[in-house]
Amino acid sequence: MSTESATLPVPAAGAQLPAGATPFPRLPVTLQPDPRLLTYYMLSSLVAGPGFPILMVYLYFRYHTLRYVVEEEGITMRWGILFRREVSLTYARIQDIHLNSNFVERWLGLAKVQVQTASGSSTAEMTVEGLPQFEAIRDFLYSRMRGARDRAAVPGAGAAAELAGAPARELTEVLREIAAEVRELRRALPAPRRTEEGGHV
Amino acid sequence: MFEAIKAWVLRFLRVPAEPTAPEGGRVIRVFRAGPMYFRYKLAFWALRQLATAVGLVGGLLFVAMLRREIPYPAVDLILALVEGFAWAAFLAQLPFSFAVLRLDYEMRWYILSDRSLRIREGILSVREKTLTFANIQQVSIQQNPLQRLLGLADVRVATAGGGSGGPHGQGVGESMHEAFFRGVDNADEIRGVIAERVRLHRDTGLGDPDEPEPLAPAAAEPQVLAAAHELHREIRELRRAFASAPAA
Repeated sequence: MSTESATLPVPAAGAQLPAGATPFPRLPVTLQPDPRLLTYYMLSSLVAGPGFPILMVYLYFRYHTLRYVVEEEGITMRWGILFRREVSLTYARIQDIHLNSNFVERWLGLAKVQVQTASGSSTAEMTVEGLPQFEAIRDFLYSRMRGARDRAAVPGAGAAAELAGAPARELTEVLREIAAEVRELRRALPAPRRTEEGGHV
Repeated sequence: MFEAIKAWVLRFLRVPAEPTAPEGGRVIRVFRAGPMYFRYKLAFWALRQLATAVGLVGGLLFVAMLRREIPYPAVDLILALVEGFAWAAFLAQLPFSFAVLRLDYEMRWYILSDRSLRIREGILSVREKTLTFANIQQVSIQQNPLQRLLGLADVRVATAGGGSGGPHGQGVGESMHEAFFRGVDNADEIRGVIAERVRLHRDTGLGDPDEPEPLAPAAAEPQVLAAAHELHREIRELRRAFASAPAA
């Protein structure tokens, strides 16, 4: 799959991506949130009431340390300055993709892509926020999640079955060859009491 | 008139355009909430407004009583202002909350493609959920007596994973692992379409890779088994031949 994504042409910004395409011409790629996210963070911290300076500081550092690393098999996000956090997940284990935006985020041209895996947490396992190309990211994640493509379309699925059949055939042949060798060995034994042979075989 | 207001509100709130189907799949159907769903929500809205109005009238009587007891004109004025403000706010929110109700009913899309479903709802907070049929664990239909009367139902689609209701106001009491087709009048049809697609997937939907089923162990293949038996027979014969051979 790596070669496939590497050779795909880069679509123009905002254009409808063809099925299975990636908005990232080369993987892995590290993404940094847009400065508009800082504006959003500052606005949302004001809503917090008296605790807003603390929240503001936290969100300020979160904005400056937030990184998303999009890789071939999964996506990783990390943030934090004193208490660092890092969340990784593989595309194949994604259960749901949510694209949520509130009024303020839409005015800023942002949205949250929330990604769920099959775990018991009540919040999203990963929130991809502050990236203006959220729709492309949603489509990219969707195209990589389970069930988004036909099974037959999985590259090499048919070839894998062929390959798995080959050892069985080879094993059969080897077993038969060993049997033939043993037979020859038995026949090569000194003759005297070979009368038993016919009884069993 | 309503269309103009609607267009303005949607522009002001920057509500994105109609959602597109998940890519790479053929769209089967796009469902919308049934027409009765609006009436259903309207009934609740009217009930809420009525309760608020009753509360306001109660407050008005209480304040009127209070104002007769208090001799200070300044307090009297403040009470009158508060009362007036409450009524003004109530009257002002009436058309607004009605418009939100109406738009919330109109801005609902339930898209079923042949591999996944996408649900988009909301005005102020726009929520869109995408999930593939491969991951669906359960489909259920919920209906209360009033919905039954109106021929409506909610279809609930759940994927694996726990967690309680949404923490950041993600819909009302919706967990992150479930999606609702709210207020549809063809719940059985939707359930049927989803169930049919889910049945095609034989794995558990817990992140198993999209690969063919693993092949059975090689020994189970008949010709391998036959060859192994043949070998066993030959070796047994060889042992017998050795045992019966004259000790040289």
